[in-house]
Amino acid sequence: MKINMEQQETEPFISTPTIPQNQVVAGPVKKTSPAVNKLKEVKEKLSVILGNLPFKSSKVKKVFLIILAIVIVGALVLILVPLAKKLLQKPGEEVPAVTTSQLTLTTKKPSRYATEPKVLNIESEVKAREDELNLVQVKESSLNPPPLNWDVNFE
Amino acid sequence: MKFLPLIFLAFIFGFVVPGSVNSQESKLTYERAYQDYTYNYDIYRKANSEYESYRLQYLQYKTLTAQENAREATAKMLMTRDEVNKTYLTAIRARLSETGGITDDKKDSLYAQIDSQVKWFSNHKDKIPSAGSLEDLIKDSEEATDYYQAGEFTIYDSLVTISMGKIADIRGKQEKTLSDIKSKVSEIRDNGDKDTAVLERWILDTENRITRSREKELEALAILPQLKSKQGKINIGLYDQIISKLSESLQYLRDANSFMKEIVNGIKFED
Repeated sequence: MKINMEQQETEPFISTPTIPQNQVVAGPVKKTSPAVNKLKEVKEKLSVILGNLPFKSSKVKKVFLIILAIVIVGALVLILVPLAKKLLQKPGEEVPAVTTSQLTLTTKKPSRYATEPKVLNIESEVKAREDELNLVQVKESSLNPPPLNWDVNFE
Repeated sequence: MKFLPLIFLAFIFGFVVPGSVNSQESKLTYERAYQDYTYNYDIYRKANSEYESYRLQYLQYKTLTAQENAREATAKMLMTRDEVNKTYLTAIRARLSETGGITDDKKDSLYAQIDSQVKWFSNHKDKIPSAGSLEDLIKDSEEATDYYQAGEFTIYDSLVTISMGKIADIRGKQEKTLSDIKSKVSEIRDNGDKDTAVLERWILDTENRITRSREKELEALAILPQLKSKQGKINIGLYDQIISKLSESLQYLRDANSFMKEIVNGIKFED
């Protein structure tokens, strides 16, 4: 008994304290970042989804995961490559937009009337009207009635 | 024979040079009239702010000096107001004369109304210095207000006529161009070396747009008589409606013009 008592007195200084399983240790709580928490949540959800899949063997599950990864990587490549191309392209290299009139000029063959003075005259008339129509203002805003003081009184 | 160059020079200076000076003057008429109007409006604004200031002083102190200052400032303001009306109406007249697409009858009718108003404001302005008291000036002002309100419709009638004239002028020119296009397409059809079926269909589409433009103009014209309310005041909302209808009319002409551009391309190039 004496020996035991001595042992009990000396033991706490020699061995590391062991915590029983049903006890909680007091002390500062380890802080985890919200991103890590989110990642953990996603991981848990993914494992739940994978667990619910109808495939029984882990081999099929692996194949399924590989296919899924390929699809995701493929989608990313499809999105990022044109984006990178556009960003790397210099402003001067931009392909000019082709207007319909240019298309007409380049794809169609001139008729025998293309150089006829009467047709050219009509064309210049249409152009002149276009310029006129672009300039015309329906409302004569500069001639709106001037705001005048019509109320003269000394009351 | 010796004097022949001298006679030639006399002819040049006697007929050609004065003619060109006259044409320059007539070209600048609206521009000058408008400058005159804006210049007089600036003078009026200063006179009106002086009137407001002396009016307040008179209402506050009621002294004879304040009364005399108020009388002078009011007379000045009323005279400049008459001058603004005169020059404004003259600017409208000049704009009417320069705008194409207006019938001579309409122009003459508006000129007569404007001229009589200009004359009235001119006579009224000459009468103002003889007013001996503030009461006389108040009466003069009320007289001008009543006259302005009675004749306000002429101003809006002129503004609408100018807007319609601009559109009618372009439409007239477009109709002439379309007629040239039609005769050319008919000539091509007779030659038989190009299929004109599509071009003829496009011509019909263009005619349709021009007709729609005229219809919108008639809709705008139908609103004009209602512009003046029974109380004699101008309904600005209806004026805006007229302008909106005329804008639609102009849009149809823009469409017609782009159609004509396509028809000309159709003529110029092979099928």
